[in-house]
Amino acid sequence: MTRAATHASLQRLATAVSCVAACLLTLPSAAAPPQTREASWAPSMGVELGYSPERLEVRFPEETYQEDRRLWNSRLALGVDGRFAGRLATLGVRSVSEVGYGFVHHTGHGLLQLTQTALLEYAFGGDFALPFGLALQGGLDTSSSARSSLGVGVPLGIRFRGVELWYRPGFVVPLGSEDEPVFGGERQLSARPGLNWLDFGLRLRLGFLAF
Amino acid sequence: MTNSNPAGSRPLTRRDFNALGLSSLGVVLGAGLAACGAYPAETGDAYSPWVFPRAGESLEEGLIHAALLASSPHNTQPWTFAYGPKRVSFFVDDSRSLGAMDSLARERHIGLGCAVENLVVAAAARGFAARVDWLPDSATPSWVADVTLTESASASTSDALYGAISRRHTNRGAYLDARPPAALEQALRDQLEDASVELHFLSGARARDFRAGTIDATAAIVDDAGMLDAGHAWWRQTKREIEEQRDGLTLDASGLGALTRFLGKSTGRPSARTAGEYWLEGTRGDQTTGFAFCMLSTADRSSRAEQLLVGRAYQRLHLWATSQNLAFQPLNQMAERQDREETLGLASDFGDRLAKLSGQSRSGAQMLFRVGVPWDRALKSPRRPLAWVVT
Repeated sequence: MTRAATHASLQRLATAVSCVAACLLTLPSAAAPPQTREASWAPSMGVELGYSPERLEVRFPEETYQEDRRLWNSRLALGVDGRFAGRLATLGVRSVSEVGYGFVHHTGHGLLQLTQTALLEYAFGGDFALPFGLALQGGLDTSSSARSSLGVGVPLGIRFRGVELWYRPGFVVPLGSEDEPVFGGERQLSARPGLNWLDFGLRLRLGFLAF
Repeated sequence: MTNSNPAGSRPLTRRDFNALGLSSLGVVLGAGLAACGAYPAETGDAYSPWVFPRAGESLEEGLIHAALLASSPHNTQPWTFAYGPKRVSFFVDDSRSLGAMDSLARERHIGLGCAVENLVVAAAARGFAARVDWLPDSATPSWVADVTLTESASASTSDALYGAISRRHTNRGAYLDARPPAALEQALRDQLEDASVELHFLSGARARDFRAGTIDATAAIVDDAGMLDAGHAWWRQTKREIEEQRDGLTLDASGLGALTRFLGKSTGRPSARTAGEYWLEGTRGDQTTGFAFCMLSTADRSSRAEQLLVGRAYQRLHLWATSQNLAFQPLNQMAERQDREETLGLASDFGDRLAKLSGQSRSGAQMLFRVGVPWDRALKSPRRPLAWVVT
């Protein structure tokens, strides 16, 4: 396969993935004839900081105790940022697929985070844009997979050219729990189900590597 | 192949990227330099004694190996051992002193009692009954115990207690902060074998008083340069110090988070004052969480024999708690201040508080600790190997 053909295949694949994600936000128009998609794909990199919410639950025959804590985590992320022209000149559609790796500050556990984000983007003032949308996220605790989680986030941000600051509150669902017996009861430690309101980051779109 | 920007913005250029790359490189290099003093937890020969039992050790060596894994104040490991066939002698090493922090050498002897209990548990697991003679020679006060072993079909101990010897660590991190389960107090009492040691289980309002007293006592110690310096002498900051000394307090066993420990290792030895302030902050926070606070007391807290018995009782309780996946942390600040008041002839403040907490007319409080379900597992403390402690 030639280099050009490989690029073309990659572009088609990325476009397909992105279209599925973008459809989540543009369902009313999904049945309409396909639009001309002037797409631009570029690698992205970012630094991210957020909470890893955890829950410790201890069940005894007569009583159940529960306590939550929020631990800071930080990640470096690499991804692919795709942009599509919207129907309106000021409204664009984006798809961002990212792999992040970092660690939870308190436990020192590795954190592998996979995120697929679909964004609508309102352009203003020439170089500025306000992206907002929906993100699906899987977070794998690489030291204790039982503490892993899935999440749905609502990212909001502001972008200036290729530099974007984002904030993403979301809802977390644990994928398991560390279980062990404790004094006739059971101890469970897991990601805390519920709202995680703190997750933010800085993303750079490497436009000169666009394909 | 398209390279358009539908939103009309200028892409990040190669020049921008190079600038960012250089900045990032600077950050990474800076972090690398800062990390020069950092080292991984629980690695190196200082932690190898925690591999227990070890093949190739004789009966007596195996039992002393169990003993040296016991609790001791500030991890001073104030013991030496001598042994012969089916006999082990315990000696207190007065050179391993906490100075003004343990001005009556009370905690030092409690540590010896802890070591005896580990040995007795290990002996029973190997089919030997252990007879303990406390303070066998009044002319040699450093000889605190003599243990004679006899094979006994009836000698038995819980495998859980024996298995807990190498898993028992002081956990200085956060515990679930909740009222205790109903059966906990009695379960702890059931572990006590000697009637001269009394357990005071403090929950509710008395736990609040204990917590307030512990914080006040910590603040008093931090303000007492003599005590603070004496305690800080046992701080082991670097990997080299840990490997050379194999004792004392370390960042890894402090209950702090991974990033804080990393930064602490990277930034060099803290002053006694700084370390004390961190300790006070920890005492106000994570280190006073849990189900309950407990005190072990005796009629005469100045009695060496009673101090040794308290050590045995504490070690038994901690082994049992470990077998139940419960955590312990000694919180002896009030008792240490009580001893300091007595030594310096100060008015009794913490002595009175302890007497009130234990319902005694005169405080006999010896060993104070908290119990609970920990959020995180405790990291190991360094240990001196068998060859260093056998004379």
